[in-house]
Amino acid sequence: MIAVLRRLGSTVLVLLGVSLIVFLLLQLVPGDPARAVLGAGATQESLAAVRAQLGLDKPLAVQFLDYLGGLLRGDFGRSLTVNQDVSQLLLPRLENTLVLTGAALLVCLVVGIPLGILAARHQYGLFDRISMFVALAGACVPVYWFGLVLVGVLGLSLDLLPTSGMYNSRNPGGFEDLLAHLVLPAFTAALVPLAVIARMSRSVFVDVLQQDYIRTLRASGLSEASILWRHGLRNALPPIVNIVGLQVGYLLGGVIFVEVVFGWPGLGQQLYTSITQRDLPVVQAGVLFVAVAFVLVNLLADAAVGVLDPRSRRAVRA
Amino acid sequence: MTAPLLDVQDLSVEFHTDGGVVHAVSHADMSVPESGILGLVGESGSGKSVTSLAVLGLLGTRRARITSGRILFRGEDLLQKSPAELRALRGRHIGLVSQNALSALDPSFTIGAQLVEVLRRHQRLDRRTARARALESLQLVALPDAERRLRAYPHELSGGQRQRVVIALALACRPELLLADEPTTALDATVQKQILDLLLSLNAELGTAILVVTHDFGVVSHLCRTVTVMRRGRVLEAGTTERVLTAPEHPYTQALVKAVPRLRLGADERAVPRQQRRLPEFTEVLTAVEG
Repeated sequence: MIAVLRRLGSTVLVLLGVSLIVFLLLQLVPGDPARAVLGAGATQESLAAVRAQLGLDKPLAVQFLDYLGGLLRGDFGRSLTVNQDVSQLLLPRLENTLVLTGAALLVCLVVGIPLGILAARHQYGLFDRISMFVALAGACVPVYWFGLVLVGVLGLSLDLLPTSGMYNSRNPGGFEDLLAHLVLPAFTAALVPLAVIARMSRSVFVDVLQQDYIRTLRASGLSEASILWRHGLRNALPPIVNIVGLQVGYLLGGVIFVEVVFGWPGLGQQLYTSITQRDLPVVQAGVLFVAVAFVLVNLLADAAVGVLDPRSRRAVRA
Repeated sequence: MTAPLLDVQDLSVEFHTDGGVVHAVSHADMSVPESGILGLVGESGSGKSVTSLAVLGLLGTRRARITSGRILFRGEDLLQKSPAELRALRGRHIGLVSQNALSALDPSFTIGAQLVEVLRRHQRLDRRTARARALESLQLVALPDAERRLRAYPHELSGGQRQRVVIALALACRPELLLADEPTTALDATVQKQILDLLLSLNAELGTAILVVTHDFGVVSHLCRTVTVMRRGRVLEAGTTERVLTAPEHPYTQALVKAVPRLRLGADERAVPRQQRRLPEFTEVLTAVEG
């Protein structure tokens, strides 16, 4: 119980640190938000008035506390370029990004883990060598390049799948339309984390398959399927879950490029637009969302490991 | 005279490594009679564990190759069996008690789940009956508080208790032969004695034949009726335990027997001042006997 509280406490601290860093980073970015609002021809007086309105004339510490207070009330400020609250602007986009990230994660898990397991099962065999070479190559490919190749081959040349945009599943096109638009961006975003997850799963599994208890299970006459998918997977899962947790962070970062390439109306595309327009409150909130999602996913991964591994379960209980 | 339960004839095993071919076992013969206990003794790398793994068909790697011989179990050659036939045999007719009790059980499953899975694999039992049989197995190996232990995870047990569970797992389906690969190496001295006594009583009660792989003559003298000595993949000497321990014929066996530390010293050894007493290095003894 104490361990759980300690872990939650440290998560709160990390989130506090993340919001401070996000706040400070954007203070360092050159450019004046007031000028971004008013344009290059603004007078000194009107600039000063806008600064006062945005609270930019207050000391940095006060600005941070105001910002933090706003966050706790769910107030992320107002966009400087669109006359809208940041939360109103970002929430629908966050939903789209979660759909894309979730789909990419699913691809990573469903393809990556079995690939790693089968490669480990046939260690140094042909399947192992080929799949791990492909995975290594996949991990080295820049996401936007891969996206463009997919667009070119599957979208434009073969005309199999739509290459850009997204339709909400509640729109007339329905779920099928959403899926059709989802395939290319999801596979593009999944490529690198999938490759990493496959390679790490393989090495975790190779290690598990060499354990004494696997020999005991074989000596007990259990089937290879049970040894691999029941006992092997169960023991390999805790480290794999940790790796997946970290890869979700990579996925959230990679999704920004993917959304731009495929015109996916998500958080990443909005971030890209807002950065080019110096819309600081939107950028701050967007980066914070990504950071918070990363921290929460890893908290979730830790909790899952605690449940999966009976040894750490006892450690938590004690 | 009846045919032995396990009869290994002219067995040779090679490993193809990057550094060349290693002859792990060369033309080895040994046999375990029904309800008998054979000790297979030798130093590390002598081929004793490889022999026991070959019996189970668990040499595993693609680098291992059996180049000659037969392994007859109740008259049938195990080397001619398909992987599926061997799987049906393992656990059901031949059980393994492996070397390291601390790591021989799956840490992610309860003791009960592991026993139940093995029982159901071989004996088509419903879950409830399998659980009852699992409990019987734990009681058979005298695990205290067996009912509660069914729900325990391996890390919640002591080393000695875990080794009892490993034995229970190997014996769950009442196999005719138990392969015990260094069954007491990872345990401390008092627990070692308990585990050896347990194996003896199981042999007496159930009639389970045991092949004990060990480097320890203490284990051999406590447990085994016959003994086979191996070195560098070859069988050097075989006979009754009493004969091999008291009148070893092969110089290597003589060296092994001499190298065993004793609690009671002879008169000439007692004459040496305590500070200067030391155990003879095995290689020294070996050079002395082999000349």
